[in-house]
Parts: sequence; structure tokens; C-alpha cells
Amino acid sequence: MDKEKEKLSPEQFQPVDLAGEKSEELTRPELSYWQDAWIRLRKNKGAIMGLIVLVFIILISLVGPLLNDYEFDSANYDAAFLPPKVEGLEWAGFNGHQTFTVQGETPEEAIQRGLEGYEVEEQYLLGSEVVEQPSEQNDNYYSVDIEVDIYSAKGFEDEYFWFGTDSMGRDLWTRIWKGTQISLYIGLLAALIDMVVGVLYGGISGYYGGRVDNYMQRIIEILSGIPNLVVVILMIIVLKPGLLAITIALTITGWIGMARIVRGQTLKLKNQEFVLAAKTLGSSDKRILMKHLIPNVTGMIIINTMFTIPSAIFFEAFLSFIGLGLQSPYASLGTLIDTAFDSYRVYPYMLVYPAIIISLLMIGFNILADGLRDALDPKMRK
Amino acid sequence: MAKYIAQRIIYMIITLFIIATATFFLMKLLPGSPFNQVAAKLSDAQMEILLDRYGLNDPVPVQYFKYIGGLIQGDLGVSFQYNNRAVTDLIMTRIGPSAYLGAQAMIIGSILGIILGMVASIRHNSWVDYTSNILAVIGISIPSFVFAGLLQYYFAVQWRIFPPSFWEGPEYTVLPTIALMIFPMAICARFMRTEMMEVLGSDYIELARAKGVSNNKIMFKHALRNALIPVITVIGPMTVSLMTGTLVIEQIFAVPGLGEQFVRSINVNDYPMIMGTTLLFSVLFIGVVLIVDLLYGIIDPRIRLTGGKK
Amino acid sequence: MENILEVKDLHVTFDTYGGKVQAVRGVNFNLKKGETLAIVGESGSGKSVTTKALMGLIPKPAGKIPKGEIIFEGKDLAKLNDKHMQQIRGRDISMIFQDPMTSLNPTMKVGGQIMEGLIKHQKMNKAKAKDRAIELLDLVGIPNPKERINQYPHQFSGGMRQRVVIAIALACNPKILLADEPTTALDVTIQAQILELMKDIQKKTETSIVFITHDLGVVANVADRVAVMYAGKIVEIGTVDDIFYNPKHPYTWGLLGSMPTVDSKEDELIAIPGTPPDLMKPPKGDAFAARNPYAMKIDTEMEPPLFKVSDTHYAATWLLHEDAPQVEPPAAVKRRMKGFATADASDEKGEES
Repeated sequence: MDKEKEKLSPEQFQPVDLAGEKSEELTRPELSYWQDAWIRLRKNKGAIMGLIVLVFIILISLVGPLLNDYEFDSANYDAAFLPPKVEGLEWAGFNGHQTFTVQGETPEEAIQRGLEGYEVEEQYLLGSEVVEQPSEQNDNYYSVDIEVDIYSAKGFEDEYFWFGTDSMGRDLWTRIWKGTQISLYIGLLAALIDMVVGVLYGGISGYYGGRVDNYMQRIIEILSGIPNLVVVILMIIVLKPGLLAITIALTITGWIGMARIVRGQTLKLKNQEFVLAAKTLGSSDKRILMKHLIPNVTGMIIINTMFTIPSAIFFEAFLSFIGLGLQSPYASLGTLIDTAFDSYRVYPYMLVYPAIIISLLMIGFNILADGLRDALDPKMRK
Repeated sequence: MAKYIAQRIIYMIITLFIIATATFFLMKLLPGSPFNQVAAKLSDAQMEILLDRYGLNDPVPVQYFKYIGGLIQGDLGVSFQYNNRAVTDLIMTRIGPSAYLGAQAMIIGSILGIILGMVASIRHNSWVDYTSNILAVIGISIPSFVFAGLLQYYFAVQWRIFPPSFWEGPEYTVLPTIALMIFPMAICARFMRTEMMEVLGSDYIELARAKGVSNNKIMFKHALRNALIPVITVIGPMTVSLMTGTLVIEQIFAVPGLGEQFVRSINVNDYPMIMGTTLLFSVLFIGVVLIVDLLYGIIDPRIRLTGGKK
Repeated sequence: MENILEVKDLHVTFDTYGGKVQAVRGVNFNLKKGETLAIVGESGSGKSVTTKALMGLIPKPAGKIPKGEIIFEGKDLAKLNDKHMQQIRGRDISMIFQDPMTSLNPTMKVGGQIMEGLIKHQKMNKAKAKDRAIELLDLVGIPNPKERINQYPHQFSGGMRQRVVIAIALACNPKILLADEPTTALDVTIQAQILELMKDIQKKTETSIVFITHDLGVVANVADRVAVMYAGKIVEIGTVDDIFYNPKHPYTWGLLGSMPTVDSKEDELIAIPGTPPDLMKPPKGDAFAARNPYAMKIDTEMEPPLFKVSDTHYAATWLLHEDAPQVEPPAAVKRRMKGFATADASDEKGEES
């Protein structure tokens, strides 16, 4: 202390006015709720990746069907079961070669039987490989993989079906992206209807409270006791599968979750000071609802809607899978997967692409919704 | 508490009654008779006999009261697709494999999920945490039928580790169980992680630390119990996912269960069978929700002694 | 009196997404046997973090003690590993938390929560620990302890829960009791009861207490000495008389000026302008300079050392330097200082009669 004293000069002890300028610098810049949420969402790598994947899939699903000349519903039985073939990507497996596994007492016999069975002339046989030696388990037969140039064998040398064709020779690239459009359409529409009905129901119930709320809650209580699986299946059976029928069936009980959230939030917000203050100042009910409550529950509504979309897409696919999906020639990702399942051991490409797309869609929506929840939840705001 | 249970059971009965009524009239709304497929082969007289035998010539209200009356006695009617077999009987022969699969998937899935969530929360922000998060997102996102297809293709068709389909022994249950348990596992892992993080950040855990309690005791004696209680609430959604799952997974793996039967009934318009299975699913769901609520009350002392949570 | 605890140049930092927060930046103090030391300051001044550091409860890996010593019975607690700290926590040093509503495990019986420490540290068997737990509940003034011991926390009121928390802290007769705002979450009437209880217990057990609070009224009531913390440092430390009758630091003046007193005639309260500095980037010089109406040029250049006022009283402000202009505390604070004097006198009279 003594040493320091020597270094100090009396001028340093002149009063200065620091108040005002410095303390202002210390406060953080004011951010609106949405700016703050956006910044937090941007920091969430998973959510941004999900968003990019979704945008990418949505864009291709819109543009994809226009990129070639095939129609989603033009059947051509001669062109059935052609595997994917892309010009310039032959090296990556998109070469239009089909591999069949065939059995026979000798490898030669197996190949011969295979070529006959699949109606392929010998000149198109590209290679063969014995994959299983005779044994007790397979009745002493050889199993042989034969690779054939099926496009040439069927006389389609100059055609390129990027994702292959289905059992009716329809172009899967076009069908898959059309199907993606339909799946997205169902998901978005169902989420939108859920949102509108749920927000109205929950908002009215929570805002008016009292006896109205009581009755409306009893209805919800009974409805929510019915598993939505049962409701959806019964509705589809009655309405007959179709785009609108599926969407309606999905929304019949789907709005309940949203209504509960909105009601809860409304009840919570209703008694908070700023709403009381607005009431005291003579604001009308409608004005309070629009100006104060809705903006405050928007975050929750967005989060919930974002979770509804993937679950609607899943449910549609599930319905297709149990035979309650769209009727041919229309297709969704679900019906494509369902038909592909019948023969995926021989024609795996039919299953792979729609399965990948639906999985990416589901993952994309779910992680984006997770990210939005983390970004919009006011509890997380510091 | 007793009053609360009674109230809940009354609600349950009302809901079931509504479902039964709605189902019945929805089925009556459908055009044509259930025998449309065979109608062409039958003469009018034969058709009359058929309709008479199934009571389909009675006025709808009479049919309705007969149906509800039968329900109360546990009679769900007679299946159209199998000659004259009672729906109850068919359900009983089919429920075994489904229950077995469901229970196995639920138990293994939730235990694995709880462990995963717990490890993730303890090793918060480590690679274990990230891996378990990614697994959870994938498990929640990827549809069970896609997952089942993958499993069947690789484990059964390509590598031949497990049989691809049918129901002839424990090894036949492996793949369907895995396909079915992914969702329960993912949802448990997620929920457990969130709950555990919240508990570990709570004041009472800090107080336990301040007492000098060892880390292991803090985890297992203090944190685990408090984090596990809310996890019970996911049993409800889990049951629904299992019911949904059995419909597709039993079909893929050719398991002779209730789900496979239900899908078949839907495809051949076997209305009594559809109605019976629907009701059974509803009873199951409502029952599980009620049991979960009661269980919650028993396990959480805060609710037990104040009597009934609203 | 001998020192039971010596804290030397303690630093605590936290790694956050925004950067490194220097929550405690060189804290020095001693705790004597049987005394009560109050640490006062605004929220975020580092007082709670200091006590957490004493308990070894700085959350790792985000929190670190990069520098400094905490000497207790010849050991440096800052360097002990967690296993050894577990032996000390609850036995030699224990803690009372702020919010009794959240600091008890909701799914564990109250008795079990008290017994846990006894079984761990004093190697008691269950029956013995239970007897002791009943004794403790009795000591902290909970009626029917034999029945209450088998109840869950939610069956207790807030004040009763805080008594349970105190019983847990006292279970192993700790040498040091850290009380982190133990009365803030309670009703005023209950507050007084809890404070009386703590004073009473201290008389019986001769425990040293570190009492964290931002309530100067509580300080005057319970403390022997007071340390005023600002922006992670102790800016003034002294006996209660030193701080209340002869405060030297302008921040202490601000605190005293902003404190409402029941019997003060004037109803003006002086607010301290501005907000505490961002401890991610602590300002150069005196951290309080920006809010200090008496700031001098040197305050922006160099940190003030602790100037000695008397043997018991130190303050870190350049105003105590011989070259500094003589400044008087604001008139309101002066009046208040006098007010304390009379209030205290009447208090003592009241106690005597």
C-alpha cells in the first residue's frame, strides 16, 4: 500500500461524473420475443439442419415431378419393376441392373430357370454368383444371384426411370414426389384444422371460465377417453378412404391437445396483471383476446402445431399400411411403402426411397419442433 | 380418494357407452350388407336366411338394444368372416401373442429408456448424452413399419440371425419386440432425461449434497425416485403406440395376434369383429389411463395424503 | 478469539455460453469461533457463490476455484477432492438454504432426511439416529416430534419446514453453519421466530455462523460482524457498530440509505443508481465507480486496496486515501445512522426489562 501511495498524484483524486454514461453500456440490448427466439433457434444446429432438410424435401417434391416426362398415373405393364437408372450415375448403382436370387440343382440350371422365369434373354445376363451351396436346409439346391440388364431385356434401353418403376410400370420418381406432396398436404391441413378448432375451443373455454368452461371440459374429458386410433379407423371405414376423409378423421380428436394447451395458457394469463389492467381500462373482451391473450399463447400454439404435422403424416402412412389409405392411382408415402412391402425382398428400391423420405420428414419436423420449443418457451428466456 | 375413483369409473363407463353407441350406428350407416362379397353367389332366399340368422332384418333400434344387452353380458356378437364364431372367442384366441409382444416390448423398452435417459442426464452434454438424444429423436420419428422392414431385411433375410416371420418360439418374438419397443424406449429416455435434469438441479438435491451424502446415494435414493414418478405418465401414450404398433408389426412379421386379425377384419368388412376389437382397445386405453392416475397417487406422497389430484 | 475459518484471496469463475463469469474476485475474511458474520450485498454480488465455495458445492465442471485458499482446521478446502469434502459437509460445516418449500425432498419422510447425515457421519444405527432426529425436531421447536418424524415435507408449513432444514443442518453439531438467506422466503412473523431460534441455538452450541442476507435489519439483529460484498469482492468489513455507525464505503452508504426503517420519520429512500457491472467483463479500477456519486479519476484506473479504519474495520475505497477529498455520507444516511443508535438502545432496554 505504501509503495502505491508514492505513485499516486493528487490530480487522480479529482471527482469525476461517471454516472449515466457507463451504467448505460452495461445493460444488454433489448430484444423482442421473436428476435430472441430466432437467435436461439439459429444456435440450435439440429433444428437448423432439420429446417434445411425439410425445405429441401418440400422443394424437390414440388419441382421433382416436373423434371421428367412421366405421369404419376400412366401405367405401362411392359415397363413394370424396372430398377433405378440415372444417366451419369451408373457408377453409383443407378445402372438399371436387377439382381434376382434363383435356385437350381446345379448353378447352370438355376441361371437357366431364372432367365426363363423372369423372361430375360441370355444375352442380357451380366453376371452370376453362387450365394449358397446345397445343404439340408435348402433341399440341396444352389442359390445363385444373377445380375441382368433388365432395361435392355424389356426393350427400354433409352429410358431412365430415376427411382425405378412399380408393378404397373409407373415412374416411381414422379409417384414418390407426388406422394410426398400428398403426405405433406395431409400433415399441414390436419395441423391447421387442429390449430383453428383447438385454439377456438380452448380459448373460449379458458377465457369465459365458470360454467361454460366446466361443460366444455367435461366434453373434452369424454372425448379424450377414446383412443384416437379407434376414432380414426372407424371414421375412415365409414367415410371411405380419400384425401379429405383421412384429413377429417385425423382431426376429429386431434384438436383436443391444442385446446387443452390454449385453455391452460388462457386461464394462467387471464389473471395476470396486464390483462386485469386492460380490463380495468375498459377494453372489450374481443380486444383483450386478440391483443393480449393470442400473442402470448402463440409460442405454445406454434410448438404444438409443429408436433402435430409429423404425427399426422405418420398416421396417414399407418392407415395406408393397414389398408385404409388412398386408392390407386393416387399415392402417398404411406401407400407407396405399403405396396412396396409386398415385394421388397426382390425389389428393395421400391421400399427404400419412400421409407427414407418419410423418415427424413419425420425427423426433420420433430427436431425442428424440439428446437422451436426450446427457442419459444418463455421459461427458458433469461 | 374413494369418491375420486368412483367418479373416474363413472366417466369410464359413460365413455365406453358412447363409443359402443357411436360404433354401432356408424356401422349401420354403411351402405350394403356385410355379405356383399358373397351376395352374387346367393339367391335372394338364401340371403334372407343369412340376414335373419344374424338379426339384420330387425329394426335398427331393436338391433341396438340387443347389441348393448349382449355387451353387458360380455357378448360381442358373431364374426362374419369365420362361420358363426363368437367375436369374444376369436379375440381370446388371438390376444395371447399380442399381449406377450406388447408386454415384452413395453417392459424392455421402458427399462432401457429409463437407463438411457438417466445416463444421459448424469453425463449431461457428453457424447453419451448426444447419442441418446439422437437415438430418441430417431426412435420417435421413424415409423415402426419402416423400422420393422429394416430389421426384417437385415436380421432375417440378409444375415439370417432371426426368423423373418411366424410365431413358433421365443426367437420368433425378437424382431417384432425390437420393432415395437423403439418408441417406448425413445419416449422414456427423453422424459427421464428431462425429469432427471430438473431433479438434479433442485434445491433438495443440493441440500442432500450439503449433508455430505455420497453421489451414488444422491442418484439412487434422492434423484431416481423423484424423477421416476412423472415417468409413469408416459405409460398412457405408450399403450396407444403399442396398440398402433401391433396392427402393422404383427402384419409384417405374420404374428397371429389381435392386431393382424383386426387389419384382416377391416379389409373384409367384418363389422362385429371391428366393433369388438375397437371396444377392447378403448377399454384397454381407458383402463390404463385410470390405473396410471391411481398409481401416481399411490407413489407420490404429495398426492396420496391430500386425496385425489384434479 | 481463534479463527475457525480463514478465506484468502478466493476466486470463483463460471464458464457460460456467453463467456467466463468472474463471480468471486478475491475475497478475504476470517471467521472466529462462536461469532456470527453477516455477508450482505445485492443479488449477484457473489455472496451465495462464496458460501457454496466454502461447502465445495460449486457446480462442476462449469464452476472453478482458480485461485485462493479456504483454510479450515489446517486443511485447504478449495483443494480437497469431493470424497473428502463429503466427510466435512454436514459434519463440520453445514448449510441452511433459502427456500424451505423446495429444499426438502418431497418423496422422503422428514425423519429420514434428518437421519441421513447422522447415519453417514456419526455412524449411528437407525434406532439411535431416530431418537436423535426426534431430539433435534424438539430442539428446533416442532411440536409432537415423534409423530412429525414420519410425515412428508408437504405436511409442514413453510416456517415448520425451515425448522426441519435447520434441524438437518444442526444434526451433527457442525462447527460452522452457513445460512443462505434463511428467512427471505418466509412471512415476517415467522422470520423473527426463525432468527430467534438461530440465536438461541448458537448460544447453546457455540457454532460459528456465516449469515448471508440482503436485509440489513436482519443483520443488525443477528450479526457480530458484517462484510459488505459488491461485484465479487468484499468492499467493507467491520463489526456491526462499525458498519452501522461509521460506514466508510459509498456503497455501504447506498445500502443503508436504501433500507427502510420502521421508526424513521422521513419517508425518503435513496436508491443506488444504475445496475451492478457485468462480471464477464469486470470494469477496470473500482467496480462501483460507475454508480458512485463520489467517483474520482483514480477509481477508473486502479482498484482500491482495503484501507484500515480501525483494528476491526476495513474498507476498499479511494476516499480513505490521504489525498482524497473529505466527503460526508449523504444527510439521509447520517440521520439513519443516528436512528439505528437510538433504535438499538431502546431494543436493549426492552430486552433487559
